[in-house]
Order: sequence, then C-alpha cells, then structure tokens
Amino acid sequence: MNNFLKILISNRTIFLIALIFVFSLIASIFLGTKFASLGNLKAVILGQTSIAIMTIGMMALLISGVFDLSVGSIFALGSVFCGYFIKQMGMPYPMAMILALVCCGFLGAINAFVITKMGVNALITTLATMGIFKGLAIIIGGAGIMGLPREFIAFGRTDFLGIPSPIWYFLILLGLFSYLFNNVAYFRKYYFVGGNEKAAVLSGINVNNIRFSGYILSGLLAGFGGVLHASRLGASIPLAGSGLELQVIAAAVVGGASLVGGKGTILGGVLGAMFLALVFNVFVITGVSAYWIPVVNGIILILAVYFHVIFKKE
Amino acid sequence: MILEAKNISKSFPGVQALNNVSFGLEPGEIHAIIGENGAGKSTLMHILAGIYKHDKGEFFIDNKRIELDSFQKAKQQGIAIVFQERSLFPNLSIAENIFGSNPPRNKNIFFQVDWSQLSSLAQDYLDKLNITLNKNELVGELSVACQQMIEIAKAISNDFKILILDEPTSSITLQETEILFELIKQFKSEGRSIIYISHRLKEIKQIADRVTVLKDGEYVGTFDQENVDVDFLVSKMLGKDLENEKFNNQVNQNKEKVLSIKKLSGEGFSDISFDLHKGEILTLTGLSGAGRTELAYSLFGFIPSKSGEIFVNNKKTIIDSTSKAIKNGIGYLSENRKELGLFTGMEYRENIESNNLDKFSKNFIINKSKRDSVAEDLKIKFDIKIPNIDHLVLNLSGGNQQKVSISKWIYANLKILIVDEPTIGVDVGAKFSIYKILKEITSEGVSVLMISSDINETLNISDRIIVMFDGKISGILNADEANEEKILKMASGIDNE
Repeated sequence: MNNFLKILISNRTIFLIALIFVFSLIASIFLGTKFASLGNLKAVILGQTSIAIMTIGMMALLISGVFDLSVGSIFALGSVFCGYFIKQMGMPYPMAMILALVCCGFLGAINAFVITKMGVNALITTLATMGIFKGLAIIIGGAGIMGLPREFIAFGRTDFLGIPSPIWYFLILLGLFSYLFNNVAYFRKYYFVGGNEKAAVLSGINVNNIRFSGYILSGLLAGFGGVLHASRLGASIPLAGSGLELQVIAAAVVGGASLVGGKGTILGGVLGAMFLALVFNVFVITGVSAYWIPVVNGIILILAVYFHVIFKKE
Repeated sequence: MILEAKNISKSFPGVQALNNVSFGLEPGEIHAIIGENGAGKSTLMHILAGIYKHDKGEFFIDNKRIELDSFQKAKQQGIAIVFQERSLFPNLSIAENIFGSNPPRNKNIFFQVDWSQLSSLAQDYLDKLNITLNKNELVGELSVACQQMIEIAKAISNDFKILILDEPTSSITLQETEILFELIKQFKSEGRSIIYISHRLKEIKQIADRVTVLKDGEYVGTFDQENVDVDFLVSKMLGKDLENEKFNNQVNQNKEKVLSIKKLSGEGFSDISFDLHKGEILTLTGLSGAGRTELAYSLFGFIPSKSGEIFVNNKKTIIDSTSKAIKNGIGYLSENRKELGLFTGMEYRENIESNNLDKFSKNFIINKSKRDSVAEDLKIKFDIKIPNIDHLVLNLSGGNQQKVSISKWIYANLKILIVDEPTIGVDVGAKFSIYKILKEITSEGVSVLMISSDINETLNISDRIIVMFDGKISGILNADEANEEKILKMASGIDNE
C-alpha cells in the first residue's frame, strides 16, 4: 500500500490518470449518464482542445524555467489575424492560416527577444505583451470578424472516423511533442536549462537559443489554438482569449510543471488540462454559473502548487 | 574538561550517522576532528550546535550535564559554530550582518533598531578580532576570506567558550589561511577551545593540539598532534595504508602545443600568454582573486575575453560561447559544483547526459539505453556511491557529487579539460581517485589545465605550474624546480631577487 502511494506521488502521469478516474467515478455516481456518456466525453475533450494545445507550449516553457502570460492574447491575435487575412485581404484560407501562425510565432520571438536580449524578466515581459497583444487584437479585429467562409469552417468542424478534427489535431500535436521532449536531443536541452541555467551554459547548451525556440513554440501553439477557435466559430472574436493564460498555467502546474523549471512532461500537462475540463464540465451539468470557473481555476492552481510543496517535504 | 560528549549516537533513515562516539575538549585547546565525507563530523557538530537532536548519549559542560536541544540553548552554553556554508547577507553591511536578525533595539521608541548601538557594538567585535574592515562596507563586496572573518564575528556574538569551525579553509587561499590561524591562536591564548574540522591534514599538523578521527560514524581514536604524522592520520581515516594509493609521477615529455594563448586580456586578468602541451597537467595556482577562474571562463567561452588570441592545435580560434569551446575540444569543470556544475534536482544519469547529448544521439534522437549503460559504467569506473542511476544528485555527498561532475566531462572525451579546484571539499580517499583519473586521462593524451589553491596538490600532480598574481602571470615553473616557497612568493607578488 505504501509502495503504491509512493508510485502515485512520484509519477505524475499515473497520479493524474488516477485522479481523473476517481473524479469521473464520483461524478458518474452522482450525475449518472448526464456525465458518463460517450457524447459528453467527446464534448469535454473537444471543448478543451485549444487549451490543451496551448498547454503543450506552456509546458515546454515551464520545463525550461520560464512562462508566458501572453498566450491568451496571442490566441486572440491568431484568431483575428486569420479572419483579417481571409475577410479583409481576400487570401485563400490555407495561406491565411499559415500566415497567421507565422505572425504568432513572431510574437513569441518578440517575447524571447525582450527577455534574452534586453534582459527584462519573463513575468514583466509577458505581462506587458499580454496587454499589447490584446490591444492589437481589438484594434485589428474590432468587435469581431464575422462570416468566415465555409471551407475555413470545415477545418475545425469535420469528423474523421467519427472523431471531430480538432481532437485529431490535438492528438497529433500531443504525440509529436511528447516524442520530441522525450527522445530528441534538442528538446532534452529544455530540461537542463530549467534544471540549472548556469550549469546548462557550462555544459555547452545555448540557453538563448532554447528561450527563442520555446517562446516561438508557445506563440505558434497559442496561435493555432486561436485559428482553430475561429474556424469552429466561423468568426474571429478578439476577446475570446481573455483569461486563458490562467487556465493554461493551471493545467500545466496540475500536470506536474514546477515554476522553477526542469520538471514535467507534455503528457502530464495535457492530462492536467483534461482534469480541469472535467471539473468545469460538472459545473455545466449541475448548472453552476460559468462565472465560478476562474474562481475554481485559481483555487486549483494554488492547491496544485501547495501539494507540490508538501510532497517535496516528504 | 570543558566539554565532554559521551556515547553519542544518531541515525537518519537508512544511515547510522554516529555510533557511540565520545570525545572530550580541554580548555584552551585546538581540537581537530577529521574523517572522510560521511564519517559523521558534520552530524556531530550539528548536534553540538543544537540543530540535530541526538538519539542516545550525554553532554557535559564543565562537568555539568546539559541538554543541547536548540540552537539558542547551545549558544547560551557558550558554543559558537561557523558552518561550511556561508550564511551572510551580501546586500547588508558588516555591522548589520554581525547581529543578523537580532539587532540591538531601542526599547523606548517602539523597539526600533538602535543604529548607533549597533554600530558601536559591531566596532567592538571587529576590534576584538583585530579585523580592520570598515563596518559599513557591504558584505557582498568583501573577499571570501574577509567574509569568513565576519562569519566568525557573527557566530561569537555571545561570550563564547567553544568555537566550532567546519572546514573554514576550504574556499580561502594559503595567505588568507594564515590570517585565520592568527585569530584561532588568539582565541586559544584567551583560554577558549576550538573544534576544527578540515580535510587539509597539513593544516591540522600546523595548528591542532589533538586530533580525533572518525570513520563511518564510529570513533577511531584521539591522538596528540605531535606524536603522529600525516600518513598515520590518513591511514586511520581510511582504515588502510595509503602506500599503494600513491602514484608514480612521471613528467610529461610531449611538447606538442594543443592550446596557445597570446596576450589574452579580459575581466579580472590581463596579458596572459602560455602554451598547453599534449598530455600534461598544467596548474594555475595563486591566491583567490588572482584571476584564474576568470581566465578559465574566457577559455571556455563563458565570459569571452576582450583582447588577445587563442590558438587551438595551432589554429587561431575565436571562442565566444561554451558550445564553441566544446566543439573545439575544450571542457570545463567548475569549482562550484552545486551552482554551476550539476543539475542537483535531476537524476544522476541525466547529469551525465547534460553535456553529452550529441554523443548519446543518432539523427538527433537520444538513445536512452546507451545513456543508461554509460551511466552505469561510469558509476563503477569512478566508484560513485549511488544506489541507482536514476537517483537524484542532490542526495549525494560532496565527494560523490564531484565524481559525477568529473565523470560527465571524462566521458565527453575532449582533448583539453579545464578543471577548476577539482578536489574542493572532497575527502582524502576521493581526492586520490580524482588524481588517478586525471593522471589516467593525460596518459591517454588529454591535456589538463588545472586551477588549484592546494599547494600539495599543485606540487604533487602537475607537470608545470603557472603562478598568477593580480590578474597576471608572475611565473611559470617546471614541476622539478617548483617548491612551496617559490610559489608562495610569486603568488604574493614578491619578486625573486
């Protein structure tokens, strides 16, 4: 029994799977088929795909010891860029999507530039760009860009083998980045940079290079989340990304990221995101107001860090 | 006897740190306690300071039984302790540091800090210790040796009877050690007792009255310093004779230049020129602050030099990043293993992986089973005492951590290895195995540029010695012409007449 507990605590993936299982079991007992149905499961995962995809980027940053508060705003800009390129500039939608992603990657590079080259710390930099990018999204997108073309909408609304396309995108990205961070030499460097930045430099690792790729990755994935959102909605809503950074960071921390870096897995972060989705799903089913979501989100974030502190002591 | 410890035992989960250890301390005595890492010295000192609670045993001060169950209580009994780790606030002044969190207060005005009293009391302490520093100077701006003095001044804020010094000389240089010894002798003449923990046996011969040896948590014996020699103490510490541990020092004859430095200048050093030959150990020695580590940083591209030229294998090379240095076959082992050398929160095998990602990967993909088997091999080869290769480095002793640092660079198999204080804070046994490793790789053609403040180490294992003073080279000696006196003179900037 003691051994079992040890494994549970030391292996975050197993811990999260157990947590999700136990939570689902209890929810099923109380809510019955309203919760425990294939349809609901699909809806939960589908609703959380954008967050989960963004969590992959945040997890990468947290592993390397930094974070990004501007992901919600980049999400908004990704959505707005895409809509603007299609509606205002008349671009074909694949080109608009790619260009929007390039722009979002560039926004990530701006974050990295300010942090590594100008020496401003990550908290201040991404807090500032959170405001800047959000403002730009509203300036470009106004109240929103409506009536996006049907082909573009199909990108986020097709089913393949009975599973909605966003879930496929999410699973592909999850598999890809899990593999990269586990097995590819370049991405392993993220763990060393997060584990001890100076020792990483003295081991011949180019830390600035890792910072740039991390923020570009985070920007790209946040942008992709935004594009996907626009596609499913058929519209670009500049305010859609507000507050997402809290959800994404909470998901990553529940998923085993440590704010000092060096720890966590991509899969863990995604499981963290899915756990949050289940909690909010119960809210929806039981009719609790959606205004409670950020409240509970914040509490979960604090509890996750608190448990981390306790386990570390033990 | 001023202090007597009887049958002290202490265990931690899985380890018997102390088993029935007894020892006595006479008034006005300098009593050295020696033993390998893990022998239980630090545990015993932590118990004396009231930080750990012992499981069994009794303490007597002036033949009166006492309980040492808190730091405050130990302090009231007149026990002062200076730990190996610094506990100063670099951003505060000397005076503020001496009083720490308990400065004199003015009881009349809302208990605010009484700055004038703090200032004058601090001056008293400094005067008492013959420290001629300005009490308003920031501690962060002092040299390590001066910080050590402040650490002592802080520890003895009460009228102490016993001062415990845990490895006080591990990070200071020879000359600074002399200043420390003067202070210790002054305490002794005042009738106070000193417990002195050190790995440097020569120092102990120089200053201690008696020596107690611990091994694996057991008491081995107490000896009068005058009656024993260094080899005897080493054999007691190791529990075996050292004869077969000594290596044959053959001087390297190869004059092939693998690294040449011409008029290199940078932060902390200027106008440095020398050659490093293939298969030699070239040692940079000198006082702390002589610019040796800074020079190493520039050769490794950590803090690039400002002017001058570096030639690797006779080819002019610009080294402006650590990855460039490694590409050119240069590795660097830091003196500060905890902060700069290791990823302490990560697994042992991951530490081995950190600078060998290229060696473990094919087509950019890491071969983890190869990494694991290499980690396993290195563990056996360097006798690293670690239960599993996925164990965190954090929990290892200093000597084992150092072996991890070294082994990760040995495996990298670079042509030039810069080792900065490779045996700092490690015990005698580990020291010898580190020397053996260095000798072994040089015989395979690796060139070692060693930075060392340990004079015996410098004289024993170097092929050539460069002495630095104040950022410049003050002399280059061949091993056979070097001796302690010559090196000391050069290191202090005294010209040979």
